Amino acid sequence: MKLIYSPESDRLCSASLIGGKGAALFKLYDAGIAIPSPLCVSTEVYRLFVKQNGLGEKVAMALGRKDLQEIRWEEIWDISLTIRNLFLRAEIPAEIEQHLHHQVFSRFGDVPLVVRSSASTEDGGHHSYAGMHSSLVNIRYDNLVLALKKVWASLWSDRAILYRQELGLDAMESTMAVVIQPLVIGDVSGILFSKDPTDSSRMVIEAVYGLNQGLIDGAVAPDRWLIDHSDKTICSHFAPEKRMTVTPVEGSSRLQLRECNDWQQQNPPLQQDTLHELVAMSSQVEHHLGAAIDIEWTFAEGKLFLLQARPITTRSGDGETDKRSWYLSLTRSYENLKALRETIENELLPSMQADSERLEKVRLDELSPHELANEISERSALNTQYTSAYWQDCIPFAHGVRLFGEIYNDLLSPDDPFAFVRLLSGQHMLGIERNELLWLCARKIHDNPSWMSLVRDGRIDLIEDNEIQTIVAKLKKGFAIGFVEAGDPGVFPEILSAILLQFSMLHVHPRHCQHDDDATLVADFLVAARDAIPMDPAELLDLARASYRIRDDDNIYLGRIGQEVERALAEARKRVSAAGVTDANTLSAEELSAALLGTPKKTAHGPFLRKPAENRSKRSVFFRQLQGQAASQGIATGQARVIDRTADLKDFRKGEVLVIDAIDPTMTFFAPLASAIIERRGGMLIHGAIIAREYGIPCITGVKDATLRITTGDHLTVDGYLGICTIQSSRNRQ
Amino acid sequence: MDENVLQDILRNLMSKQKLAVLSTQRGGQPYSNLMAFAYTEDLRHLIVATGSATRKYQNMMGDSRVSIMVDNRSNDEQDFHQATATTILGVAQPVDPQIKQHYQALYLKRHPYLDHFIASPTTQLFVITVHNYLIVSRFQDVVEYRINDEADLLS
Repeated sequence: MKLIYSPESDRLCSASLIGGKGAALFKLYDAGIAIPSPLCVSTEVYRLFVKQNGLGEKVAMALGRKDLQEIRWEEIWDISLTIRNLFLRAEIPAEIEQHLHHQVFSRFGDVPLVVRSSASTEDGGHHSYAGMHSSLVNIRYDNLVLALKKVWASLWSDRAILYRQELGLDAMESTMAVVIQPLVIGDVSGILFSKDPTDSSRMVIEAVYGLNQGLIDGAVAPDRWLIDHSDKTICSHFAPEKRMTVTPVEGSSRLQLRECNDWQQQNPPLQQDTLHELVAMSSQVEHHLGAAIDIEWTFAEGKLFLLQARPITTRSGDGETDKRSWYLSLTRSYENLKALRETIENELLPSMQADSERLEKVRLDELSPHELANEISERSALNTQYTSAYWQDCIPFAHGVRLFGEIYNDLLSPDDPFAFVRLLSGQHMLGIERNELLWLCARKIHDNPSWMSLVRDGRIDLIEDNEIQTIVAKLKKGFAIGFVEAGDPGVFPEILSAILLQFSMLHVHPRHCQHDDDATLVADFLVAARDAIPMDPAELLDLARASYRIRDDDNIYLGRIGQEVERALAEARKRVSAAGVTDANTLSAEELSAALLGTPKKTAHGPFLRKPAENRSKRSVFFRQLQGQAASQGIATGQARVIDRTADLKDFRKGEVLVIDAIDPTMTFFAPLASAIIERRGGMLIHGAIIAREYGIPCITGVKDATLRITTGDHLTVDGYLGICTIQSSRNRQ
Repeated sequence: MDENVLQDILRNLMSKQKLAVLSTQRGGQPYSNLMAFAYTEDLRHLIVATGSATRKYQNMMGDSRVSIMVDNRSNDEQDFHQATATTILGVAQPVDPQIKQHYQALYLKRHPYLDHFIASPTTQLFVITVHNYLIVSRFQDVVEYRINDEADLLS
């Protein structure tokens, strides 16, 4: 059976055998265009590898837990990481290794190689897969097998799964060929669109010094030219603020990112003659492929090479949009993550802290109705502004954890694809600090019967003890407690008392889950990563830890702003009620402001954390076993407490299983009290999973319709190893 | 999940399967057999037949509680994510001679090649009144459909 193809002997190979990219390169190579000599490892090799290792059903089971449309992106990332680990740990059949040695090594020897994805559905002219799968640069023959596994696994990258789903392609039919070429170490590299996807009268050329890897993954900002498509004249040129370059590290498989030298800073990477040479090549390629194209190219020692070419998709050519660019934006480069961290730690979080402290000092009861209405408006706007910044900066920064996880697994191929999380957990986080204060306060109260009595009455504020009131003040100001209502100073003591009452029943400190061998894991990572990754390993670990920590802490900062909005609303409700409005509690911020100023209102409804439960009284269908993602190990049984609205949190009792749509770090004070957590929202790195691991309690995430399928009072067994929740008996069945 | 959707899943599953595994017990010893079966359109009853000299006949006469499993596995690794199975819990009773014709017709419509077997004077038709269906899909998802409003057999 033929497994590896070359353009000399297999001129007209089909895309089903060597993938779309491979087929295009063979065609252009045959037409005499300067292309680094390509070989193609066929889709049959992928099939053999998958079959021999039994990966087909493992992939299907990983993807088949729920309908793909119901799986969140974070869950898809988790699935993708699991599949990638399966591929990396799988053995390549000896027959394939012999073929590789016989054909690849014989042809190229030990020169640095480029290993490119070439999926069977890729780059066929209808859908562009640019950036969806992996291409690896500067690979030595010794590492070729590992590189092949990585490229094959990229067929199941989160973005590729999402994109195929959007296009309605059957995931299980997907297959991958791989193009192998000698690496041309270019002096200047880049991309070219023969038609600008946003304006077909122009061409676009982007160029960088060195390899184009930095341009492709977004780490290097390119020089950009717009060329008139009809007369090929330059319309405009945009230079980046600072020119950077990616080059191979001599004698290793690494690439390095550095600033360009002074001469390069002063001179753009392309001049008039090289631009014209590029434009001429693009016309040739367009002619042979019969469509507008997007190409990658490089100039090495003055000679222009085509690295790859694909037709521009009909979608983008027609001005239609798909979500590919959004999928690509879900991952961030290391440099981008470092910049985000800088912004979040040095600007966003201090600014949120300063604003919440400023707002806390405002004596709302002294404001006139007009001033209070303005205050509500200003606070709501601030909340919106910070929420927007949270989405813009904090959510993408969470990719730091994912980047670390991918690199960790690539280096160490652990049994558990999520073993890397142990290197990130156990840090100081605001949610843990808050829970420690709650534990401390509860211990003090527990030993004093009269204080316990006050707490039972919801009047922690009446306890005359400086130490306790200091803790209460810290809890009130330093942390958001997971109820919107907690911002109301009149309600806060009642809520805090309810929480402390439950904490007072904890007789043993809810210890963090620490593993004895965590230090060894860190050391193993640092050793494995030394000289193997293009960044400082300790710096990467530090960034990942910050990403993990901030993922939780940022919500608490944001919650404090939210609580200050609520404090103003509570003051407004008090005044409006006193003025005779009977339904003040149902009014929105705008309606309360209007009522303060004496203008009409309309009725609003309180927020639900989930859809109101269907009428269960006549049910004949009962969910007996639900599956989700095993997000924190352990097994526990307990009665379910389903949280429909934030107000339900007050009813939570120690030992119950928390069943919730989506837990927020402002709510994670339940973790030390809960026997287990079940969450509808899926992911290994969501807040419920993070806090469950910190306290060593089982957690299952991604349980479809968890809050609808489980009823408060159901007796649950939660298996955090397998991700299964068994409903052993159900109150509504009696 | 909507009751009608679940009923459609069950009808679709059972219509494509000729055989089911019937489990009975005697003296605490479970006993399983592969059986031809039929069912009523409302899913409330299943029909099986057995010779009166068989162990399963004796078991059902001694303890009417039975469990039946119907599944669409293809004995392929894809079953782990594709197969659906239902465990049906109910009570088996010999069919009353007065209504035998109705159930026999249903049975023979699905299994016309068993006409000689059914016609034997030693063959007994049993009707199983279903209490509940437990449907397993996607390897680990389990949903119970209680078709009769009776005590929970699994509690």
